[in-house]
Amino acid sequence: MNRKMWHRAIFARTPWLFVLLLSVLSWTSPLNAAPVYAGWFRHSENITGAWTFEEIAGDPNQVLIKSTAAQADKPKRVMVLYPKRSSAYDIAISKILDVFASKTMAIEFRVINFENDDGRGAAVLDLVEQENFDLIFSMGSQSTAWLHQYYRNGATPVVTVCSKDPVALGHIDSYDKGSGTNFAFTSLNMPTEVQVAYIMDFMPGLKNIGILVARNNISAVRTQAKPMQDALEAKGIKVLYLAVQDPKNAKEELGHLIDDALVEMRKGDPSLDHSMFWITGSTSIFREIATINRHAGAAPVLSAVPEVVKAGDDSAVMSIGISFESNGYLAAVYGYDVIMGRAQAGDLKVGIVSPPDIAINFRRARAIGVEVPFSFFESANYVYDYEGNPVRLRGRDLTRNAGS
Amino acid sequence: MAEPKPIRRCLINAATMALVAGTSFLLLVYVGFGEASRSYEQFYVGKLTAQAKVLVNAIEGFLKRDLPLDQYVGFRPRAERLLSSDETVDAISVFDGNDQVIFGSGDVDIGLLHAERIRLEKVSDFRIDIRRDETHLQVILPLENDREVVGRIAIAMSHDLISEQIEARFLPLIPIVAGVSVGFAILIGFFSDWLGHRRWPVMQMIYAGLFLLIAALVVGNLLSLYTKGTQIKTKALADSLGQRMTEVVGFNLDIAQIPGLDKAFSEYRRLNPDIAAAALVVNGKILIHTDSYMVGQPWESVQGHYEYLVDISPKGSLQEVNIAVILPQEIVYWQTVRSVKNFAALFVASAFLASLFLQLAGSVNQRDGPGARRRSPQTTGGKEEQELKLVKPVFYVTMCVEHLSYAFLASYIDGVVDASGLNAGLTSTVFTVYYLCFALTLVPAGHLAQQFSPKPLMIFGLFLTALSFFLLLNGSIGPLILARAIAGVGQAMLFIGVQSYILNVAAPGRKTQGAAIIVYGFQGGMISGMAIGSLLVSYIGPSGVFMVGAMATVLTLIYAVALVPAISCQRSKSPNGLKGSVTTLGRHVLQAVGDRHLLKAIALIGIPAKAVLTGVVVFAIPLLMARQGYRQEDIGQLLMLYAAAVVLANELIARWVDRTGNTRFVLVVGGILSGAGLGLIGLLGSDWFNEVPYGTVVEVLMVLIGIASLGAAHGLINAPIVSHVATLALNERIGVSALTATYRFLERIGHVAGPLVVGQMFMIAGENASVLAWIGLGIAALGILFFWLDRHRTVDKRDHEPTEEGSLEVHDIVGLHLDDQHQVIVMAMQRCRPSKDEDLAQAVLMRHMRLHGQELDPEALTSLGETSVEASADVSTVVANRRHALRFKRFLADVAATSPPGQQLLLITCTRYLRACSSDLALWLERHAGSRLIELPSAEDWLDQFRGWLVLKSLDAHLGGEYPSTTELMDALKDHVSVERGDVTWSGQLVRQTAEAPENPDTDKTVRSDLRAVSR
Repeated sequence: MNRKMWHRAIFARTPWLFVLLLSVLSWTSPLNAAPVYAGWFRHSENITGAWTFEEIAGDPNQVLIKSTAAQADKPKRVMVLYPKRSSAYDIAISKILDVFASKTMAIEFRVINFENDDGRGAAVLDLVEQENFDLIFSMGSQSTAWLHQYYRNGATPVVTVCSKDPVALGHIDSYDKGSGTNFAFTSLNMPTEVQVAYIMDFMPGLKNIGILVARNNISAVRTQAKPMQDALEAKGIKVLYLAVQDPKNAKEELGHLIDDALVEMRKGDPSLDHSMFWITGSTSIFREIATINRHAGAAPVLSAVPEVVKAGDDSAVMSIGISFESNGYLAAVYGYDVIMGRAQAGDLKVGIVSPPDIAINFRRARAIGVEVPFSFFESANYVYDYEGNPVRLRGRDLTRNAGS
Repeated sequence: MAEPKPIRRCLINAATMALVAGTSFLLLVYVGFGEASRSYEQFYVGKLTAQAKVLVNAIEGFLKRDLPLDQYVGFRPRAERLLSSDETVDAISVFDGNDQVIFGSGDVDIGLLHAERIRLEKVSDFRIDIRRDETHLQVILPLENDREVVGRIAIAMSHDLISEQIEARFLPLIPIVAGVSVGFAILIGFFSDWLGHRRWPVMQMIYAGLFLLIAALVVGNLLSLYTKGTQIKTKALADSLGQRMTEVVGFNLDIAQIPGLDKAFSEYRRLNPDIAAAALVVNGKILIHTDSYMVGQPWESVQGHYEYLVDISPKGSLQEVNIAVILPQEIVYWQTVRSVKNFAALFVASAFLASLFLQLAGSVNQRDGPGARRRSPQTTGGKEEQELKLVKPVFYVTMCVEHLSYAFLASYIDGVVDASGLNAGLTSTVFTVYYLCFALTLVPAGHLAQQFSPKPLMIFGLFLTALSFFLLLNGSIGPLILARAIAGVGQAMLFIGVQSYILNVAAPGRKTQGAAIIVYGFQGGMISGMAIGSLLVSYIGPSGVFMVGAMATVLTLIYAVALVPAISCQRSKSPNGLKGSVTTLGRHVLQAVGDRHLLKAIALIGIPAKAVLTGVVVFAIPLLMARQGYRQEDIGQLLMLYAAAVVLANELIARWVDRTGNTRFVLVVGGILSGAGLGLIGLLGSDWFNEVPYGTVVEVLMVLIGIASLGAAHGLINAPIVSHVATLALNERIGVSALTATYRFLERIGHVAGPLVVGQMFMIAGENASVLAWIGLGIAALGILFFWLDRHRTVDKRDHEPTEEGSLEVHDIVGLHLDDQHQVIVMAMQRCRPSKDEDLAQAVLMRHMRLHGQELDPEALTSLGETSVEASADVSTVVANRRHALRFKRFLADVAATSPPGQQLLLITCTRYLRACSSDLALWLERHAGSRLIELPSAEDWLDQFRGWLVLKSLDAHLGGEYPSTTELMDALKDHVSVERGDVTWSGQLVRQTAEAPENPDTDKTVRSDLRAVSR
């Protein structure tokens, strides 16, 4: 193409290019720009009407959330401490805000990502005590571990969210009594023996299982991967412990780990009819579900995180566990009771959601030729059909509702 | 013709009958309504239970792996599918071991119905609790792992849904009942005179017809409801299964990718074994079937089966997808028959109650009620009759109430004993306490009744009975024993009180009617009580039945206080009071046990029969049947069958025994039949039934035949053994009445020992029915032994022959005249040997009085005196009783005319109007030189004893039926005093009666005959 032709082509499309240019400019203008906290904090669109989300000038790691409802009383103040960004936290905070919106109380939330930095964390605690916050939501196991180390017996009560089993992590002695401190714990874990029972029901002749976990996710290792490994090995099942060393390089590592595991699995199960992969609650792992599926091939991928089963192809076949949403709901109820003075944080026993959720993606199941027992189909709260579309959510038949 | 009644009188009569008929018809409708409520609710209970079991099955599969209940996944989707498939279900919830809600779906506010507001009951499956409150019915099932109950699942529905369906069928009957009652009342109120003169008892027939009409309407409604009810569970489960499959189909999932669908169908059939098959049918082709052979076949309807098709085709789909379930029609028929059987039992109870109502009304409506036809003009309006009828409900209701608990009392006592951690053998002891206290109270109560008045005795007996029920409500062992002891004392006092009342109130002409109250009360009360109680217990539980019993007794107590008249009792003849009575009884007992013939009868037949009654029928059979899983209503109805068999056999055999006098044969047959019946009952629960085709049906039939045989056997024994005892030579020494009373006392040893013996045998051999078979073998052996030992004994020909001390022999009965003012017997006498006794007639009288249990000193007898004969008054002067007096006069004339000249006659009369007849008597005595007239002004004297004996005899055979005509009375008397074994052999035949009243000849009870009667 010569120069003249380039000019003709450009000017012939000028109106379109102009529109495109305006669109790009308008998208990048300050009026429509994504908030500064968008890199680590997101929420469900469903709650947008009930809350306003404000940036804190000069600090992209903070967001102030206020209720849109008229508030006559002085609002209660809640600090939410994030250690990092995570889709799990997005789900949990959305549920918490949803629950508090239904309470019609005067309340505001300040969410701070302290990025696992002790200095930033200390500043947050200073802020909490100086401004007399009523409650801290400790988001994620890392926040919980940090707060438990540095703020145990602090003045402000703490309720944990999206945190793994506090007993297994040594934060509390037993499930049946309170901490006796300013901490009220909730747990993302379900009993391992229950999880194993469901896995064995799903695949009665299970021979091999590959457990996928991020090595640096201590909570996932200690409360999910290791207990599962022990329980399955006790049943004579060959467990392949597949730990990702560097979360930032998870995609590549997972490819190698799974390929190697399949070789190992095929030694005793050439057709992989009695082999599967199990994804633990490590964000860096389950966000690579597409990679995992691609490498796992005919071996079904199951997960302890219900949210890993989702619409479309990038989904686990089935999950058995406690959803972040359910855990967020329970934490919100705990937090509300503490704020309202109905309960002391130290008196509340470990909040475990029961029963866990089962989610099934029939599109993935059909793609790899896996059968789903009828009892699982009946029990599942979340079902996705052959098109990958949700047909049952929270136990509700969406096709019936659509029809009616 | 009777004069027309005033309109006011007609209206009052009509209103009375409307009330009575309306009440009895409404009672029938209410019984039907109650039965429908209970049974129809049971269908829903069955449905809810089956629905809950689907969830229980899924959850327990999880729990049995030692997993915690709260971690069970899938409750909500399953529960919500169930709620979607059945709009009658309001809520399904799962509770942990502390009754805290773990999962809930639907209206979770219903929660677990609170214990204080509920009526807890156990059904055939003892793991199921059924609770109710004002608005909801809740079925609760336990959730178990392999070791313990870890929680419960509760499924609830609204009561209104059930009651609306029942009311829709029964409320329209109310106006029909009202219309029928008013029509009947108008008929009775305005046409009673005309109806009363028909040849047939038209009024009774109309009443019975209307009663049956209402019953037919009620049964029709019940059948309709039951037919629907039997299909509720199947339909609901089919809908539930359809709902479970709907999503598989609706999500367009490949059935091949979901293993376990066929298991869901198999599980459905396992939970509802009545159904023949269940299938998933796509475009008419079977895709899944409970019979795998049918998969791939086209779906075809099966004849003789109900077919339920649930369309689960996805919207917009071209495929037609159905869940198909087939249910054999015979299942529906059988379940309907079962429910109608329950109603039939209640119908019998209602009929007894209706009869009671009608007779009460007859008492009020003395002249014009339906029973008027049965009363003579002389007796209608009689105070005695009214007083008798007023006491009838007291005894009937008390008997009914006492038997309310008999179907389940054994299981209940056993449960209380077990809950108290005591030895199981105590169960039989608790039973024994009742009979022991009953027996020990009889004598003192009889003494009290004679010393004071029957009414206070009755009232105190009712009070104790009510108290016993209230104590039973406590539910612990101490009050239970006390309650049974008090019940025994109370029932005995009531029994004696009513008996004394009847004996004192009933005019001589109404002794039969009076005694009939006892028979009617006992048999009717027993049958009604068992029917009602056994059905009530599954509805309101044992405590509820006890409360009903307590309330009914309290109401009866109030009734007795208010309406039963206080009567003065004639003083006891036992001058030494209670001590004297006891001493006399003791002496008679010693004499009785010293007589080998009586000892044989008592030990080999009498006591064993009574022991079987209390130890087996009342104690062991209900206990064993409950253990075998029989429903309480079935147990109660089986006991009703026993009672009915007793009555029927008694009715059939008594006449034969009286005619032939062959009591020994009957008693032996009774003993052997009793053993055979027990042998059949002993097969209950046998493993053998599991090995034969239709084993369950055969087992039930065996038990039915066994119970009926046992009842028939006891019917063969109960009355004949008294006749047998009466023929023994011992009566010569202590008298028939005393001998009979002594026998009655001794046979209570069997009452007391029965539960103890059976209880001990259970302790030794275990609680199984084979023990009853061994008992049966023993009973039969005793019967055969009795036959062998008694084979040489013949009826003592000397019975009632004059003893050596008697010097005048009754040769002939030449006249018998009975009406409500005169009771006269005229006997021809002949001197048989010389005697120092100048007053030969008095000697004869004394002997007879002793034979009938009246020990009198000659001085006391002398005081009865000989009436001086005066000619100062003529019978015609007694205007008010002219007709009676005229008949009496004609009777004497006829006797005088037909008696051989010169024959010595003894005329014994109880008439209170002797002086009115004095001129006739004087004439009569003049014509019969050497004849004697003895006046017995008291109804308790010889003639009354004689007649009372006749009444008792007739009672055994006829259940206290009245005698509407002279002829029937004469026939009955002839039956009972004829043939060898009686006091008198009546060999003549009725040749003439006194003049019949022209206006109402059938109601004339005056009897005059010149029957030839030869004393033996």
